[in-house]
Amino acid sequence: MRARFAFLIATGRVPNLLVVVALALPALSPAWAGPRVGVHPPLPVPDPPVVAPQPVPEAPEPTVSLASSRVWVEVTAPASGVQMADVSVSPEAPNRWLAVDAAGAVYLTDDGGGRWMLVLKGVEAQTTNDETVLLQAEQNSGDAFDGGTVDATSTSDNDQAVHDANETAAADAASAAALQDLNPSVWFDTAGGGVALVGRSGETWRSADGGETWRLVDPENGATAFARVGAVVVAGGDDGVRASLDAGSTWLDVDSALAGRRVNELDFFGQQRSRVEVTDQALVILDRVLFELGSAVLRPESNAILSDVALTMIQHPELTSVEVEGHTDDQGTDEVNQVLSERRANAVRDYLIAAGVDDDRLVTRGYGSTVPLQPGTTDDAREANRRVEFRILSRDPSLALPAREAGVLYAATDNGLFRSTDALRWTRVGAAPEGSLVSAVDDPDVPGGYWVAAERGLFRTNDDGGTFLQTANQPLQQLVRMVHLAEPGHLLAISGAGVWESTDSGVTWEPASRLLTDRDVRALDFTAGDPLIATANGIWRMIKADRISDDQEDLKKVMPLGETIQISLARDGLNGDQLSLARRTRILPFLPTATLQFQDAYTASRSADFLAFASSGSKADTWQATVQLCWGGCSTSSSYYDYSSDNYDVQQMVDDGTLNVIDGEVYDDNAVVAAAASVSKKLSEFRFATAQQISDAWLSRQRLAAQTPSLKDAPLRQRVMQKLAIQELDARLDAWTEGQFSTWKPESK
Amino acid sequence: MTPSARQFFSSLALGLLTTGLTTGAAPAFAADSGTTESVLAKFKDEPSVQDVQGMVLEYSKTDNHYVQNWLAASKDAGWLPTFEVDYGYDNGYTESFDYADGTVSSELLSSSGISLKNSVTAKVKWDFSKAVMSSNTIRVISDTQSIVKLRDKILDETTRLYFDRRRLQVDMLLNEGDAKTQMKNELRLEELTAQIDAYTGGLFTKALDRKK
Repeated sequence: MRARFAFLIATGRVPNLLVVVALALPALSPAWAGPRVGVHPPLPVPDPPVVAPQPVPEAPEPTVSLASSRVWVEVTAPASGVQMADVSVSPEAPNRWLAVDAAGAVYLTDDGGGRWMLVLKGVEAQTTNDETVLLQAEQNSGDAFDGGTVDATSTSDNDQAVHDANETAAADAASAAALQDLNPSVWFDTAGGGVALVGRSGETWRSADGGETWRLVDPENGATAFARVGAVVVAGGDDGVRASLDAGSTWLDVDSALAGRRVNELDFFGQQRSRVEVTDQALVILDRVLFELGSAVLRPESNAILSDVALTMIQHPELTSVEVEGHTDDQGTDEVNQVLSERRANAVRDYLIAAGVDDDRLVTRGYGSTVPLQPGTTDDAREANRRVEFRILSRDPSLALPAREAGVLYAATDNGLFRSTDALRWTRVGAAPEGSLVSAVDDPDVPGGYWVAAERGLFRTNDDGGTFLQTANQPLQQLVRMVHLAEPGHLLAISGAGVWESTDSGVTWEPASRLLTDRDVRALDFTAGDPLIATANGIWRMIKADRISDDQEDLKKVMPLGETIQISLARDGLNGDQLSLARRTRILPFLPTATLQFQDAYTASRSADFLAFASSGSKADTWQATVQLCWGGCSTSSSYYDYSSDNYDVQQMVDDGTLNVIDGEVYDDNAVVAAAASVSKKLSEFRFATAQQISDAWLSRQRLAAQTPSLKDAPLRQRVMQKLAIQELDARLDAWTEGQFSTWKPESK
Repeated sequence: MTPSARQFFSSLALGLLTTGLTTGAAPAFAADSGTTESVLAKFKDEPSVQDVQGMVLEYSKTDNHYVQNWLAASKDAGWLPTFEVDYGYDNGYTESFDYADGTVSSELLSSSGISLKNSVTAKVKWDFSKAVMSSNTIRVISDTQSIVKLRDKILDETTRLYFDRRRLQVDMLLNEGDAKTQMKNELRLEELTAQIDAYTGGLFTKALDRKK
């Protein structure tokens, strides 16, 4: 009986009442606590232990992936026919963006990409062509540009309206080759004030009016990345970093550990998580410095705290002399302990010097076991007594740096990770992965936790750089940049293969490239909470696909998504009826061939016997009816082909219907079930792909429609283009629904 | 570029602009005045996107009724029997001779006979499995999927071309640009029109001409 119920439920053919009964039975009868199939006697169920009710911990809200709720829409391209390189959003006006193309030309928009203005012409390539010898950037204030083609700064043919096509193509190819290393970068100062910077091909430009006019501030050095730490603006380039104390007007070379290294990215971690406190007498460390047993070799776990000590000393140049004190416990002889404590103090000193601390600020001293922190011989006491302390010997208040914003700046370079709090003094994060790094990404939810994205994988530290473990279980190819989003463990990465996101701290990655047709992503920023990217051929914004407020009634006047998909999938050729092929073919072996035969024959004969003078004749009319039922193999004669013969003609057999070609696969006429299965599978795939396309188009359409009211003051061209974009999506949806989408009325439901 | 080539292209640009070869709307719409509707109304005499989609379906023979017909035909065909008719006609004549002395000269016709046989056989044969599913039915189902795919693809492509063309027209309307830009836009417009024509068998241009 139970088995019967189980079967009925599994096949979905049980009446609702029976389902209720079946589901209720386990609660009513202990017999139902056992397996659902079979007739075993009920298993003995032990009494549950009596436990006090426990408060149920509140489950964390699952992180909503961007891919599930957002789609990419392309905003009006700054120019056609150019490759984009970077984009930056003003911290003061989310609709004011600067974009730079691969040739270094800078474009400005004030309306979120509706209308772009070319504000700084690009660097034209130095080519081998004698006619094209110009390496020049010109300031251009206010050349209105609105989606047309940008001509590079003209050459000797400047006065000509039309270029010869061949010459242009050759120049373009040469330009493309020469511009490969430009790597232009654009950045709005995070401190605001309308300051923006552009670095390109060995020069740096600055704007003080939000990107409208530009001034060349450094004709010698370009930059691949900009950042601000406190009052200092930092530019990273092919040869370390430069710093500016006046928001980019003048630049200072920084002679640091970064010299000679290419800086790929500068990442500012907003909150400094130092575990070192500066008191009047000492640098108090909130963690332990650990050594190998009976040795002066530092254990890797000590890197993080010592890196913090180095950073603190660099931040506090007024601490002119600090004594590194080594202490041991009372085990062993005094002589051995004395030597060991001195060697351990020296090891710490060596680490700090390697991390960037001037050696004349450090002195060392070993105390052996003479200055115990806790008296006694217990394990706890001995552990507390084995320690390293940092005592301040002298201080010069005149050297103290002004108070600055708490935070640490990380530089991901072509060989290693470096960090600084003032952009002037940098320390290497020794345990960070070697090789070219892409980004350092703060984890604001885990003290001491951050990620380092490298070309060879993603790494994670939970002890502020003491140790790193590779975390991603799949390589992220052509990674360009990675950022942390608002939700814990939610990461977004851009790459040459699209946009990717992880909701589990980087362990697994999924594509977040819905509707993004240009996957060569070069740069990432955020505008009003929406990701904004520069791809090879344009600028894209990731918008919420379902952001429809209650007051936007117009959006509810279109055919609902579910109905749109339903109508589309009900079209002849891909409706669900044909998916019942499997069910229909199941009965094929049981169906006979029926033959009805009717035969009518007329026979007449006459004969004469001349010898006997006699003659005779006969006449007969007969008919016969036959009914034949035949199961299997009744008609082999008509479809038999000798496959071993060299003479058979496949095309002829296809034409005869002996063989069938379905989607490029050849089926024998008798292989009906196999052919049906193949068609059924292809139909399912087609239906799924169609539903996905409709969903994408519908969501994009609604989002665009939702934006329309906010564009009422936008330029006319932008409004028209917006309208056309909606009309285009409507037309596509009409094509899928055979015109029903645009004629749908709410009351028709 | 040689001076003569430059002169040629300049002349071509000027010619295109002055001889009314323009297929789009006239330029010089006040850039930031007017409404969306007033701009799009400039193109009201052109075929709508629904018109163009209809042209595509007509020309490509991928309209739904083709699909319906194929499916219905394959379904009905399964119930049709094979029908065979055989007709047999046999006309015989026999003669018997006696030979009295065993020589040919003693031959004597002793008897003769004729026979005639007419037969008609009709055979009607149903293969009930073909009524449920046959390889032909499967081929038709598969091919109708292909037709729908093709239809979706060409409608999508034509819709894109149609709105690319419309966006270009709007750009030309709102931004005059210099002579070179205008010439490039005109050529691009011609190209898009020709591409739509390729999908509609020239019906698009015919409709444009008719509505002018």
